[in-house]
Order: sequence, then structure tokens, then C-alpha cells
Amino acid sequence: MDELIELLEEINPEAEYRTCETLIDDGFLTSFELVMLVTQIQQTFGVTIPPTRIIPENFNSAESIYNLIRELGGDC
Amino acid sequence: MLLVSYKFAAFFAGLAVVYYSIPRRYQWVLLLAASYLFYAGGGPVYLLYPMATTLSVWLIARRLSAMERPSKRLLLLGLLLNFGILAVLKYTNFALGNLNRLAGTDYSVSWVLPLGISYYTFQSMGYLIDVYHGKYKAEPNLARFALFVSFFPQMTAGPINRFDAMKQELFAEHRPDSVRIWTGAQRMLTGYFKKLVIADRIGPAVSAIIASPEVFDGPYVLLGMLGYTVWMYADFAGGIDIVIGAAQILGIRMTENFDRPFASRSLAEFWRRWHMSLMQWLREYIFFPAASSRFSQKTAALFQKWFGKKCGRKAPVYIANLTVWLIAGIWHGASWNFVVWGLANCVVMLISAELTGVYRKFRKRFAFTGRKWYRCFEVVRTFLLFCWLEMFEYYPFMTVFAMTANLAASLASGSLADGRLQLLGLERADWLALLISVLLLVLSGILTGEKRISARIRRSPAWMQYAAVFGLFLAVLITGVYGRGYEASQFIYNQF
Repeated sequence: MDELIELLEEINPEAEYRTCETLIDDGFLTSFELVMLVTQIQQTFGVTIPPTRIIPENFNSAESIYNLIRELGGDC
Repeated sequence: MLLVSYKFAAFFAGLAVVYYSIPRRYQWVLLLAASYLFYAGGGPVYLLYPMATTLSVWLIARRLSAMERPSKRLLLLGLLLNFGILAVLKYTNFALGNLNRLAGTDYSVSWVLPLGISYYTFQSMGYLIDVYHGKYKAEPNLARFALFVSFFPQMTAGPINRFDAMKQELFAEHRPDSVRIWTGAQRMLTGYFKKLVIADRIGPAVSAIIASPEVFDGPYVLLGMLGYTVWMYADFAGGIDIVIGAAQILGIRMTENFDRPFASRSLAEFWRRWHMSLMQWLREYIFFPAASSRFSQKTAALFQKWFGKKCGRKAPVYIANLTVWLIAGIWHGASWNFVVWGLANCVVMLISAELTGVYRKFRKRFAFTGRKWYRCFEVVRTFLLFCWLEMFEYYPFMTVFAMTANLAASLASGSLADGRLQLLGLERADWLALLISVLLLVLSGILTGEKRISARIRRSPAWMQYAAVFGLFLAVLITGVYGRGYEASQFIYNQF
């Protein structure tokens, strides 16, 4: 989880990632930043995130992103 | 059959009466027959195109749905076949034109583009991709799927609907509901107002301005810029109001295509609120797949190695954004102007993306950025930026910069009252009608944006609502432009 939070903070340091549950809805992650995050996650955790999984529900909180990575077999 | 014609009015009124008179389980069958009749109005041969798309996509989707692991090759076959038909019909003359310029030849073909081919092709391809990804099962009934592809209101100018949302709407049994019919009719009337009173009035004047930059320079560049945007919006949003209203009368809710785009505070927000169904389609089926494609990820890894982590993770964003805007550009028209327009939007979007961090810090540091006047400033800035980018659609590339410089130079001394205004073919009454209509649009946009006010309007006494609708009806009847100067009933977005 800490490594994921670090990645998120590198992309946008303005959000409180441990508590925020509206990262996409409140614009903390724009679609461009979302793509950067996906790229970084794929490279860091060795998972492939299919485009169909890139939906707000999966990226609205650090926890949901963490769960997605675990579900796809990543070591997070 | 054009939406602004007596033929359509008679067709639609007759359809609505029969639709609510027959047993409800046959309503969708009637809609399919009516849709094919509507489409065949342009010539029966044109029915072959949506039929070919319907049959090929239905067959492939059924096969994909039956497979344990859907075949990527089969999906590609469906995509290539249907995008191939679209590309050949829409872009052959564009390709030949370029070839002619290079080789000094004079080849061309005289194919007429089937109505709404881009809309139903994109809609069907979205369905095919969704079935491939297992979002839902393929529709087993060919006739039902045919209705999804060719439902007549969406065949003229979209919106690009999604099967999972439309399925319930199209195949449910609909009882006549006076409130829904009344609101649908109001929506259609609003559409006719935008189209006939604004778009068809301002269109010829704007065409004259943009066709002769050497005559209409200085402040006329600004008039052309603003007028072009008003024209595009009134024409496209008007068409969408008519078709969404018509579908609503039949009990069918289609996806929205506009969400008060001119209230946007950034270009990115603007493109989430203008032509929403297309932009959503591009985001879902092009942007994210392009960003996570093997090519993008390999490029990202290479860039990371060569230029560092930051650069590496940005590579997919640039690739995806460029792909989306190239497609959006060429989708809007088979000419270099539209390609350049797409690229210009792409550049602005990327610059904004690069500055996101700076904006955030700026907003955090300065409290005035939360004030109303600053928000208004952002809205005006976004509107003007959009208008300026539209110039790439109608001026050659270098002319855009020349005319921008020309406009800037004339700001202090230029005046519209120098006789050129009369060349635009509009009387004083026309300008007045335009001014009042545009102000009405702006006002209604502001009011519907304020939730409390719009709720109060909805609760207003019935006689007030009837009076407003009657006033709008009279305005369309008296101040609408009917077949003057150019083919007034042709919608610009029909050609896509």
C-alpha cells in the first residue's frame, strides 16, 4: 500500500490518499493522470490493467486501486 | 427524410398515433419498419449500408458471445469490415484529392454518403467491443439488433447510444404518458427554435464571413468566430433536441449529447460536455485502450530508460491523446482542416495537462480563484479558446494566425459599422431576432444550471408553462427561417 501511495503522491501530491474516496469524482486524478498512474502501476507491480477495468469505481480511492492490483495478481 | 420538413412532421405524427394504438408487444417491430422507411426516404439503395452493418455485426457478436475465449481475430474482422466501409465511403475522395495534388491527376468518385453512417458505425462497433469484453451477451434476435442500429431518431445526428442502456428503452412496452409526451414535444420545439430561428438565420452570414477572409477582416474575424460557434451549437444541439424529444414522445430515453458546454471552465471540461456521446465513445474505446496498448507501454519503458521516469509515464498519455484527436478530427470531416483542428485541440489539451500541477498550486495559493468573478473569467476564456480553435476548421492553417493577428491589430480601432455588414444579407430585424434568441439561450442555460431556479420553474403554474411554450411556438413560426438563401433544412452534423 505504501508504495502505491508513493506513486499517487508523485502524480498529484495535493490529495489525502489514505482517506479520500473521490479521487476521480473530485478531479484529484484527471484522465491524463489516470493513464500515467496505470502506466506506473503496470511497470511497478507487473500487472496488466485491461482498458475495461479503467473505470472510476476502481480508481476513486487508494484502497480500490490496491484491491484492483491484488485482484489482477500484482504484488502490492 | 429531413427532420425539418412537413414530410417528417406527417411521418412522425402518424407513427406516434399508430405506435400507441397497436398491441404494445409489437411497438418495437413498428419502430423498425418506420426506421427503415425513414432511411429509405433518401433512396432504397441506402438501406443496404445499415443492413450490411447490422447483419455482419450481429453474426460476429453472436459468434463471439458463444466462445469461451472470444476470438480477437473475429473482433478485428468485424472492426475492419465496418470501419472499412466507412473509410471507403467517407475518405476515398479525400485520398484521391491528395493523390491528385501530388501526381497532377484528376481522379474522383461520386458516391453519396449514407445518412448518419459515422453514428451507426461507431454505435455498432461499441456494441461489438462490449460483447467481446463480455460486458453483456450478444442480442439473439436479428430484428431487435437491427432496430438498435437503425432507430430513426439517432440516424441523423446521433447521439451514439449504448446497447446496454438502449435495450430496455427500445424493447419495453410503452403506454402513452401525457407528461412525457408533453415534455418531449417541448424538447422538439426547443430544437426547432435553435435550428430555424438561430442556426438557419446566422448560417449564411457566417458562411459569407469565413469564405472571404480578405473582405471580412478585422472585427469581422471576431464576429465570424463567435457566429460560427453559435451556428454550430444551435444547429447540432437543435437537431439533438428534436431527436431526443421525438424519442421521448415514443417513451424512449436516449443518451444526452450536451450538458451546457459553454459553462465549462476548461477545454477538457468542455469536451466532456459537448458531443458527449462521441467523446465518451472515444475515451472508452480509443483513449484508454491506446494508452494501455503494448505499443504505448513499450514506448513508456523505452522513454523511461532514456529520459527518466517522469517522461516514461507521460508517453502513453501523449500517444493516446494524439490518437483520439486524429480520429476526432477526421471524424468531423474528410479534409486537412479537420485533421489540423484535431491536432490543435490535442496540443492545447496536452499543454493544459502539463500545467495541471501549476493550476492546482495557483488555486490553493490564491483565494480569489474560488470567487464567482474568477469562475466567470474561466468560462469566458474557455469559450473564446474553443471559438479560436474552431477557426482551424474553416480557415487554412496559416490564415488562422494571420487573421488572429489582423483581429488583434484592429481591436482598438476596428468597427463593424463600415458598410460590410450589409453584405452579409441580414436585415436589422434579423440581427435583433438573433440577439434576442441567443440571449434567451444563454439565460435558459444559466437558469437550468441553477438547481433551485430550475426546480422553481418546473413547479410554476401550468398556465405559465403553456404560455411559454406557446410563445416559443409563435417565435418558431414567425421568426423561423424557411428555405431562404440556402438549403435551410440540412443539418450540418447529418454529413457525418
